[in-house]
Amino acid sequence: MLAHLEATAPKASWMRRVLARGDLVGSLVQIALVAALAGGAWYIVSSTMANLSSRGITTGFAFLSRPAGFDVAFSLLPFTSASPLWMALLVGITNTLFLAVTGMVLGTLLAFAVVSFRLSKSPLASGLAAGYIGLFRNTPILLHLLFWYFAVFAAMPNIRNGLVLEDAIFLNNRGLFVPWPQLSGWGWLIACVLALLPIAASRWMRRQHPTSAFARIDLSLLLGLVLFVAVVVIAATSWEVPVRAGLGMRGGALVIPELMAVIVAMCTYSSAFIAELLRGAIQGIDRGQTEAGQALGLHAGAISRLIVFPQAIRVVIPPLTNQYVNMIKQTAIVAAIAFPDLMLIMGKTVLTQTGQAIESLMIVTSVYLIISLTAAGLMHLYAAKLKAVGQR
Amino acid sequence: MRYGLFAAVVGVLVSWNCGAQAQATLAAVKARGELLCGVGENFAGFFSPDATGKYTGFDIDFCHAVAAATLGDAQKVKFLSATPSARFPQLQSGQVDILSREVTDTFSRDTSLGLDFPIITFYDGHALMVAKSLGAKTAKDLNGANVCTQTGLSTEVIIADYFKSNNLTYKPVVFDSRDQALAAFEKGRCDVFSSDRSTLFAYRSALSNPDGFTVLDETISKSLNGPTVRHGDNNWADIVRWTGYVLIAAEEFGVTSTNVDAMKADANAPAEVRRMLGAEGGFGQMLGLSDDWGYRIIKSVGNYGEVYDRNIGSGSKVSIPREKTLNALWKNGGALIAPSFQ
Repeated sequence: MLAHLEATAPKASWMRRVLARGDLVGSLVQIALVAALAGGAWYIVSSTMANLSSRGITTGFAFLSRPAGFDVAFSLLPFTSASPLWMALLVGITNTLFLAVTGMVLGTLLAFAVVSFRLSKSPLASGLAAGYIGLFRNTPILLHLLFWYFAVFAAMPNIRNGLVLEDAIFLNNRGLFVPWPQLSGWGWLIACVLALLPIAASRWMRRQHPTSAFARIDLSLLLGLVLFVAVVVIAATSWEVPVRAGLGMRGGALVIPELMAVIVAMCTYSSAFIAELLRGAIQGIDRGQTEAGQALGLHAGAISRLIVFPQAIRVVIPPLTNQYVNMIKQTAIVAAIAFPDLMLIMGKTVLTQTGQAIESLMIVTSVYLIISLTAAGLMHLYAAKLKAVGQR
Repeated sequence: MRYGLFAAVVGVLVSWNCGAQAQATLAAVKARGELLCGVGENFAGFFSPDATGKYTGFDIDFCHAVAAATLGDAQKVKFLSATPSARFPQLQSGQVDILSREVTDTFSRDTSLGLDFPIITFYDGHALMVAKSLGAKTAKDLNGANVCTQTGLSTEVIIADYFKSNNLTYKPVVFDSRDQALAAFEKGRCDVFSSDRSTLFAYRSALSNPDGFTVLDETISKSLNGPTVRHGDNNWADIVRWTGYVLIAAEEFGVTSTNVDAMKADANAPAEVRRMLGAEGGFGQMLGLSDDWGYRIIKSVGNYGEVYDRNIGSGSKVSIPREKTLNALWKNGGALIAPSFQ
């Protein structure tokens, strides 16, 4: 009963306030505006449907269950030409996510290196970094993409004259072929779990002994990686080595030239932008903070790690979110160099194979929207968490 | 290109009145005084700009023929660029009256996209272009090949089917744009470039070293290409279909752009020829056109053989063989045949 009263109370007061302020006309105008927008949207949708059906164009998403009929050059999921089209959509989404995440992680790591050069006291290092940033920030990314693809990775020697290491690793214009461990699903799972252990331990350590070396996230990540590789190497029953077969190669794992070009182009390009964001944030921290650290006898590394970075991160998150969302959308240009991302698979191949232009573009739009909004939301949550810590 | 596609899709979304005009393409063309013809960007022999920037080609001439039949003047055509991904929305939304750009007729396109394929004007099929240095003599030598293609055509599905049914492995390298696909192929990124045979001949002539490449003899698919119109306007589809038949029949009857005046005036010419050229029978009116529509087609572009030779035959740069192919007249063992003018 009490809860009921509480729930209705604000509503009543809101009504009273509106009437008291004489905002009734304003409210009516707003209601009319919303109604007009909704009516307009309904009109567009219904007339589109009517137009489509009057022209004998099949609408709806049933086409997604048809077999794809085409193959995809790079896929993290099992996919053949017999797979249904919704599977092709999933491949497109995972490929786009893979590009976005790889680009963000590697781009940010590279940006840390660039910004440490940029802020170094050595004029040579600082000048080099400034030149790097200037070059990448003031040229279009498509140019970098085409350069890395046509001038570097696709221009490598052919499969007969390519680079061969120990008869196991091959680098040529068909891509990078490396041996791949034969490991059961359980093996991969155990390796992943073991890799996560040091990270969890360091998070626990951070609460107990914040100054301990075991609390450092960078060290725990490194340890996790080492553990992962160790488990895979020990548990692998055998390694599948790539061999020449026909005009191509068979076996092993393949990194296609398109992927290498995209990763290199996106990382170098975005690192310049992220480095500038980081520089702005770091330079925005009051010099007194550094001096206070020096007064406490901390060395330079500890000052950056413990005093400057934690504060800079808080400042840099909103612009960094923008940059990350831009990167997600930027991945759509990789269709230019034949990397099968969401845009190429769904927005080009599926669209033209099925002719379902409106549906395909609606799917592509919604997926980009969902990915970008989710990324922005996660960054927002992270920022809120940091802010709460700061206020305490 | 992207903007074109989005504009076309928006066109579908907001074109309220086009549904009502489904049966009225001819009236719209006559009222406008101009035929809107969707063609590709550049495809040597079929549609490409000449030295003066004017478009010429096999598919261009077809639109000139339709304009001659409907408007009495072959020059009253506006050519609009229709890219592979934007072409169907452009037609569906009424931005063009006809697509004349070697669109391949398929079941799903004909039945579910609101399109009609009134007539096949060019028989083609996918083939494989390889570097001569590869040493491949037949498609069976291509196991493990990387295959460059351009998206937007049926190529991706045809290649997948072909390699799978021959138990050959391959890797697709699918580009958004033709120029980049060709550049990557020429750089050696792929062993094979695949498209329609006619397309490959045109592309090969544009490579920096055409003699280093060869088109393998196998044809791995059939492509039946022709003009495309909106589904539901039967009168317009009839006009387009019979424009094509006039071109084919005129070649069969020996009517050319040079002798058409004499043939029309000749009271002793075969009755079918006289009906086709509008000297008797009143056939034009049955299509909603003036009776001399057939005469005007031949007078302005010539018959099928003349159009073929001028643009893609032995007299042209592309030089696609016609003898003993499906594109020969039925009398010569080909597939081109027109119903009787009765």
